[in-house]
Amino acid sequence: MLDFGIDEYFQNEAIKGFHQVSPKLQYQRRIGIAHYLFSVIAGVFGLSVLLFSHMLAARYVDAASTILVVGVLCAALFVLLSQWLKRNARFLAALVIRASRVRAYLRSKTSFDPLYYQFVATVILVWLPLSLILAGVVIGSRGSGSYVWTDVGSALYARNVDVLKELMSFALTIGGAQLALFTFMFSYLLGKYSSRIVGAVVKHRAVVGLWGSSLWMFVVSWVLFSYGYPQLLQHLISPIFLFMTVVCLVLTVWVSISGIHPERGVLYASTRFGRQIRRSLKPCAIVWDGKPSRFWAILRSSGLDWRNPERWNPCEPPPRGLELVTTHMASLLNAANRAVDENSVELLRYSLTAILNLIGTYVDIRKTYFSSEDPVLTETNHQMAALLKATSSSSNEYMPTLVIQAVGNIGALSLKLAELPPVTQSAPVHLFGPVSKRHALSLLWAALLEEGFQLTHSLMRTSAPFEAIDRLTIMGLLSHQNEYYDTMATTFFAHIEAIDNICLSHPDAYHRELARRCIEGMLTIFLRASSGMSPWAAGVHDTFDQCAASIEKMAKIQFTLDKQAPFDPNVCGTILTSKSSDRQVVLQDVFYTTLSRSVSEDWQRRRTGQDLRKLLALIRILAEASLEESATDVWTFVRALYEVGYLLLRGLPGALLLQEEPPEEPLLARLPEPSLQELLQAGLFDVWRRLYGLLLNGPPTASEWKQHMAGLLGIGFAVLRDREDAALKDELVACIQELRRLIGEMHGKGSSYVDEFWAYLQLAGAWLYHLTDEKALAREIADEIGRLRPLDNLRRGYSSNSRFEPYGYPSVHRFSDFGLPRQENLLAQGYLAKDDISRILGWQALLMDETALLDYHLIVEKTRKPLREEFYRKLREQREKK
Amino acid sequence: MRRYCRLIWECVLRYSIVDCVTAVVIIALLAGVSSLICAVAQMNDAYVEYVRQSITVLALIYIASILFTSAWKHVELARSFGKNEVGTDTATESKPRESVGKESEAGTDKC
Repeated sequence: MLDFGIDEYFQNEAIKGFHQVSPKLQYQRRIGIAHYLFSVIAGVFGLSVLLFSHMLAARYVDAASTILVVGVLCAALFVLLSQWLKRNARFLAALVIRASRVRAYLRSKTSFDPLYYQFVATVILVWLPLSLILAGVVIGSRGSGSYVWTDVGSALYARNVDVLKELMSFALTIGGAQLALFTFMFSYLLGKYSSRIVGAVVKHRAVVGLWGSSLWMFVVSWVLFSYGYPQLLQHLISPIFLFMTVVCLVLTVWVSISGIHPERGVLYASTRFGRQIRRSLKPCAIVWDGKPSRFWAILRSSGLDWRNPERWNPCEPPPRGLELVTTHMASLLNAANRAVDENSVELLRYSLTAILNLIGTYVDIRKTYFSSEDPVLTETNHQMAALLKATSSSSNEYMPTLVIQAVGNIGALSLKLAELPPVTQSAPVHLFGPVSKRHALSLLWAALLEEGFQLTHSLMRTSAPFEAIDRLTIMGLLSHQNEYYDTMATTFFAHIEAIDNICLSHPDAYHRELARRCIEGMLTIFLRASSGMSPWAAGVHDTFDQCAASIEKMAKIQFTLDKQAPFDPNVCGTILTSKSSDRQVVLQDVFYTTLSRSVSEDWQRRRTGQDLRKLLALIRILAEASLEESATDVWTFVRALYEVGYLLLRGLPGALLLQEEPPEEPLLARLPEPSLQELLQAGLFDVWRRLYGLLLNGPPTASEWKQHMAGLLGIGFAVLRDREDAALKDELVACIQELRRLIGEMHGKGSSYVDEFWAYLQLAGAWLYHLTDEKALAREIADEIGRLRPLDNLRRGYSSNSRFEPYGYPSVHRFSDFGLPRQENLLAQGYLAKDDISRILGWQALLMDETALLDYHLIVEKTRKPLREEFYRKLREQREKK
Repeated sequence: MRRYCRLIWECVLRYSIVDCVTAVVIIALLAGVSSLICAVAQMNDAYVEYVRQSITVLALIYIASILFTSAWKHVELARSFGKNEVGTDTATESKPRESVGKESEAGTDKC
């Protein structure tokens, strides 16, 4: 029976469903928190209003009742409003969005700034209160009389004069101590890496703010000491300044503790360097996309556009800015090199992140200029090569992984820098058609990744080689996204192929795993290349074709190795066609993506049809190459053919089947053309016929291929029942004739291996008889089976699970009746819907219909029964003679 | 009538009960915290009296606001119910279950 894994299907559906629901649940959770938090805050606020009104009423007895009424009304209004707002979905949603924005802002700030919270605390706890006190003093000084102002020399003033004197000296002491502490600490911790980094951290606003707060405390104390203070502060001076001093000390300790991490200091330095770069290196003044700014247009017309004239050169950024970037980059690279010397992985990680941060800042500005050369990235490339070399010889083998990650990321950033201004669809088409896009800068980084692989593939305790392959894949994907098709073909594919060759020249398990990653990377790019077509992209190389060619080339080399290690899980056929996880890309995914392209014009349909045929041809070529090398996994290609065959035979998407109406007065008379469905079916069954012969006559391989081949024919017959398709019927008949010819040839040679194929021929004959109008041909086949199928084979007995095997039909693994194999690599991806499953179950019932099979068996028996009786009669006679 | 009662439950009473429970928790929380502060800071009796009176008034305000909100919703519901009864719209028969009183949406009012 059909084992179709419906449970797996529903499990996948459930997982997908949860992924869809999960963000909603998360959102509802936040809404719930906002709802109750808002309720509590409303309660606190209401109580505060009431308490405050009570206190005011006690103070102003004359207006007590009015104040109380107003307070109660305010509190009631607020509570009522909160009751309404806490159930208002839009208000809560806005609240949640605001909270998430604040959270994201804080996260982005604190990730690169280790002293962000310290700075905020300094402002809130020291600067703000001191400024308020000073403001109060200034405002209070307008008043007169001893009940408002405490004059210098008065009796009240004398009570606090000693405190103020102590405070002034204490503030100066704290300031001096902070200066010494911070300067020494940062110089000691970071000075060995770079003095620029020390300078950047010492000028951090939290550090400067703390120094300033001591000074500010001194200034405020001196003002109070010299000019007196309002009466209000008479009893508050001591506690306030005590509080300030304690806070100042606590903040100093907090900054010191947070600042002792040199890694975070390096990271902060990159942010500060980035700010300096943004100040000195400005974007190109020419606006390529969109309208120029009116502001600058007005200033220019008034002669007030004083921007640096170098910004009008779109081919090169201002050289002064480039120098600054190079200088800062040298500081960070210095820190990275020192980290390698010290074997400090953590510092190296942060240094590389800092470099990436700086390059990112630079690239954001530099991308407004267009040039094939860039001194900063070229210099960085050389420096990173040296760093890579240093890490690869380090005793800590994890370090090269970090450097390769950084190299890949910088390479990806380099792809943002274009050599030419963008071509938009509204731009007039060039006389010679679209111009091919090049990208020389990315070549440097791709080459460095390959170099990284070569340096690290012999190391055994690192994931750097895997990282190099993954980064090349990502760069290839980005290159395709940016339409650098020639660059992809000549660079990334070549590098991945070269790495694959290195791996295959070391046929141990580790290198075979690396080779697998190369093919997977190539398939990932292939998947992206198959998803769409751009009419504006020009190039000598077509990515789709190049991917197919590279995969073919890589697979053919690997087949020779697979022969030597047939049970290795990394054999090429398995990598290309069998999913070991849902994320793995296989050829069936590429086929499905090509089939699902969004097409609207005729050229897109033609191109999609061509690509689908190329994929069918690729499967055939790979299977043939695998057979030539006697690789054991050839059946996996047959399974791939069966799965893509199902996708084709169930019907192409409607958009692909539409045909453009011919022009009213065609210049060339159009001949009637076969539809895309017919063309693809012809291609599919052509591959079927070619492969069947090779597999039948080729070396022994896993027997699954017979079931998959018959399954493909079965699907074709089942489709014929649902839809009138003369072309499909012709293809199926041609396949059966080919099967008949091949079996006849083998029978003529006296091969005993052929017996199982007679069973498949009988099954195909039964389908032909009952599902088409080719009754005469089916009877002819039945007669041939009856005459030629051997009566003496080595088979004795049948499985109890097999109902039709005794009647001459095939069994699967000698265990059960034939059934349509399940599409394992399509199910997990969700390419099959519920309708597909019910459709396949219906087809299975149709193909293995008891009445039809037994009916055809009787037709076969008409010829076979007398021959069998004669055969056994002779056998009995011979036994009796003995 | 049965449908009307169900609507009253789903759109008014259920929310009112949740509001009452929330209000009781909030008042208890505020009373507890303010009593603690008064005890720790050893405030004089006048301040303690202010706190007590404020808590009482706040509780009354909460009760009034919940009653007001429920009454308001009831009036709105009755108005919309009347419209649906007169017209041919049968939306109230099936829609309340889908659109009303989803606790999972954090009590946001869909009525």
